[in-house]
Amino acid sequence: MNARTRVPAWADRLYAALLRTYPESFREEYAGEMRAAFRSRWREERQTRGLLGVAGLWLSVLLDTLTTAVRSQWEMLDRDLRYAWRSLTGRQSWAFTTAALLTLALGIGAVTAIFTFVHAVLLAPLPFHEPDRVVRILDTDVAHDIDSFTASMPNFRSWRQASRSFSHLAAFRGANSNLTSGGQPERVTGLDVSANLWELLGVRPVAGRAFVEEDDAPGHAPVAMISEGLWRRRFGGESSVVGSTIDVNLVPHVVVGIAPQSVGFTTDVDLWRPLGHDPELEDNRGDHRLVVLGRLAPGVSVEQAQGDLQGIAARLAREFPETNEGWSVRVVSVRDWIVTAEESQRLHILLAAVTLLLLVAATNVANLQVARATGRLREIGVRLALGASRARLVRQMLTENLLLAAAGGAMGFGLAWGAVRLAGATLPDLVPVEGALVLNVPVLLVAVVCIGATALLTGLLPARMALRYNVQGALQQAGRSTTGGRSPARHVLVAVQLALATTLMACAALLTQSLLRLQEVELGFADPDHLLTTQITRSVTTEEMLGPNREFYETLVDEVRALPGVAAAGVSNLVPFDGDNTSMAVSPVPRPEGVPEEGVQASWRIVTADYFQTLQIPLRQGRLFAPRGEGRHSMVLSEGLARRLWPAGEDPLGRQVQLGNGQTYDVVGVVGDVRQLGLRDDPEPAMYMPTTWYLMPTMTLTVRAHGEPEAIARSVGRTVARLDPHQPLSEFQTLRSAIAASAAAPRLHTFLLASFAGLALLLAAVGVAGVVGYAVGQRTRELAVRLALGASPGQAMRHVLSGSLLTCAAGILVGIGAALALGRTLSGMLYGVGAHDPLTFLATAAVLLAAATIACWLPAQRATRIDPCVTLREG
Amino acid sequence: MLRRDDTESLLPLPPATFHILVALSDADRHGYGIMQEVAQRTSGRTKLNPGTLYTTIQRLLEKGLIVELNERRDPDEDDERRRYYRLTPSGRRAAQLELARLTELVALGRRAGLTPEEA
Repeated sequence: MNARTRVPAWADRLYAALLRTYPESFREEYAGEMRAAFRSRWREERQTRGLLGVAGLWLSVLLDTLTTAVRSQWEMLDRDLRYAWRSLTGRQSWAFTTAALLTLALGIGAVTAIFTFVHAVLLAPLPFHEPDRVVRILDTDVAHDIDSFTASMPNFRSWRQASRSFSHLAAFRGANSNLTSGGQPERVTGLDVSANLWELLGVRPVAGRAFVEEDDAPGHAPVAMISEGLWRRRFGGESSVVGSTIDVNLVPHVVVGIAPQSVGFTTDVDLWRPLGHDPELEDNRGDHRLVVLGRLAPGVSVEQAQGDLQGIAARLAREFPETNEGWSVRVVSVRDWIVTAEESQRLHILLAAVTLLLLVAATNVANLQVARATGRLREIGVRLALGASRARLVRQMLTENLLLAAAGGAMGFGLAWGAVRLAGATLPDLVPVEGALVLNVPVLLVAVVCIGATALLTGLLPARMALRYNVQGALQQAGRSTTGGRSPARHVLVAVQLALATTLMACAALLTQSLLRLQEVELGFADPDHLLTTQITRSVTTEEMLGPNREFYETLVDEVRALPGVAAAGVSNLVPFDGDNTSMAVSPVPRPEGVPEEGVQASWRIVTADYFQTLQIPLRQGRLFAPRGEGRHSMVLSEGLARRLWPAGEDPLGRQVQLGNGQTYDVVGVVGDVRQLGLRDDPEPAMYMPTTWYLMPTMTLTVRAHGEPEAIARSVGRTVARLDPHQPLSEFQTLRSAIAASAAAPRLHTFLLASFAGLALLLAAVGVAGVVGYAVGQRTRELAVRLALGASPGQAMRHVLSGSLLTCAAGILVGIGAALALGRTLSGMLYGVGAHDPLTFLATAAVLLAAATIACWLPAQRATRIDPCVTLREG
Repeated sequence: MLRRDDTESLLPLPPATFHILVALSDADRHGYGIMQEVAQRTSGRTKLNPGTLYTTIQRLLEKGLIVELNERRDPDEDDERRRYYRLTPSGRRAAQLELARLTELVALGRRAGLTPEEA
């Protein structure tokens, strides 16, 4: 082949590029010859068959390269995996492998578990048709600092008529009811909903039909839907229930359909009825009781819809100034309504915390790997000497870490699965969407990303170390060295670990303190452990029944008070921490200086005379209500409200106040402030009205017990059954458990955060101890020389300690700095403690420093036990 | 070096492997030399591509069926230095066993009267 045909440069380069699909070690070995062979073939084909031959060559070379490269890569991976397996399961590696696996399993498991919650709460699609188009419409009154309130029926009607931004607007309100047919009387959680709610949500009934517009029409025969849960529990899941009649509040209702138990925003509702035309709701624009949901019309954004409704609200405020002045609306996505901003923030913080924990865990494993790589320098040197390429060694180390991370990740996934199952079984209310709390594809993806990232984090540093040396260097370093062990990489890793652990600890300390302070807040009533509550819904609550119902409650209170073990009993429309609130404007007559014209918003509560004694709310001034026959227009105020109504400190007794609805009342007494809504909320200004004024359909009986709560619950139940055999009661609960439930999520989150911080601290301490212990081992000879030259064992130890402690201190300082920077994010969640509370930060730094010192000191002690004679003779 | 049993476990050999072993049976050759030899012996019907050739060479080296000799100048391409490969006794045995296997197959076919008609 003398007459040379030149191979064009592009062809050579293209083939070289193709060769990049082979493993690097293969390329290093054969690429040169393969290119030469390719060029020879190219020339041969060009000379014998021309361009057609060249085209054929390219086609066959392309196919050949792809098939053999894939096989080659696979064989390489297979070899690396076998090598990694041998290396990880070898006798001298089991301690490392166990420690690394446990660490990674904890880290990856924690991230996976928490992400499962975050996904279920914040990301899982709500069970609606096009959930992004569903919004909640909230009433707002900026002047009174109200940013989320319910709407009145006439306003809802006006919106529905005038707005063009929604394909549907639907409303509902709570309507707990008594079921009296088909067994024991039962009190069920109910909602009265406008007929189009089902269509708006796009939720289908399990059986039968959903409501239609006619069901809402005036005079229509009463119909109801029952939940799947109630259907199975009370009616045995019989299909004949659809179309049958059940008694709701003693009125026969035809069951038209079975509703799914979970409709996205609630899983509790057992009875659904059409909102219909309740005369009580029809006329008063100031009576805010309805939750309003909307489905945005095609092409309309949330902002446009809000602008549209705000325009309508402004017009209504002009038309009906006495009820609508100052009121406007806000439109939020339905998820923002279901999951509060605070809850979402808490979950994000938790996710950030577990990510930090995973970083600490990965850093720990990286640290162990660096130590191992240092210990394996001889092996690495020998392999380099035998011709292994650096790329090959890096690939092998990364494979080893990938195997480790995958095994740890699989264990972590198992842990997460267990934790999620456990949490789902014990805390069913944790997630708004039923069945969303599962390890699904997104969760699996996150776990896989964690595994990959961890493998890279833990593998790259030791690989870099291995690459630092040439054959000779590696073999030399592997021998006894006087300077080994001072690996800067490991010190940096220790500092990073401590910084991460410190940040987590500081945040956890702030939140824990906040939680502890919350436990100590003044409730305004005494001893919630002995306060039992049960809700009673009267079946018939018409105007004519006010007298008989009042009589029922008065007799009930008298009889319950006489039961053994009962200290006191009272009835009210709401009790503290039951999650509900009422609000009405009230202003003094005449209005003194400093009180706004529209009055003060205050929570109103209807109570029997003994309610105050039962909760032991202290009387500050005047008198409480008379047990019977209290004047309809008497009122008792909370201290806080009295102060706001008469800021100059006038005596409120005997003065008159006027409510937003125009009625006037005489102030007969002043009682202490009570925390009504939550531990973190300031006590609400409150006004108390007697039961002679009005009765709500649902009232709460509160019993102060000095006997065993369960026995009392039973005897109260018997008393109620004697007074009215058709009257069911809700489950009894203590006010203490209601208070606990109101803070359940923050408590769980704080507990988790504190656990993660504790784990991070433990891992960091283990990391520090590992580094110091390793350093002592590596520097035995140097320390022996020092000892032989007259250094005391204490000096030798201090020598080891000083450097390590400095590293630790630096890490802790960085961590404190990071936590201070994060403080602003936390500040909204803290109670009674500043986000930059100096004491907390000092204490955190002290704890971390103490832990780091112990972690350094324990292994450093070995330095004092070195025998210079023995060591130097062996060296 | 493979024992006899191990060599048997390699059978049947992929055609490319068999061709390479045959090409090395009478002389040491470099990679491109093997390609040419195979093409020549099969009258151009089998042309090994570089990918198949060198990944097979790598596997044969690992299994000890061939060994690598020191680099030498290629007498034909005097500007390139190339590595030469030599068949080991194991390699020779593997080729022989494969040949026996193929012969047996051929005999089997013949006995069944499947002799191809003369073209």
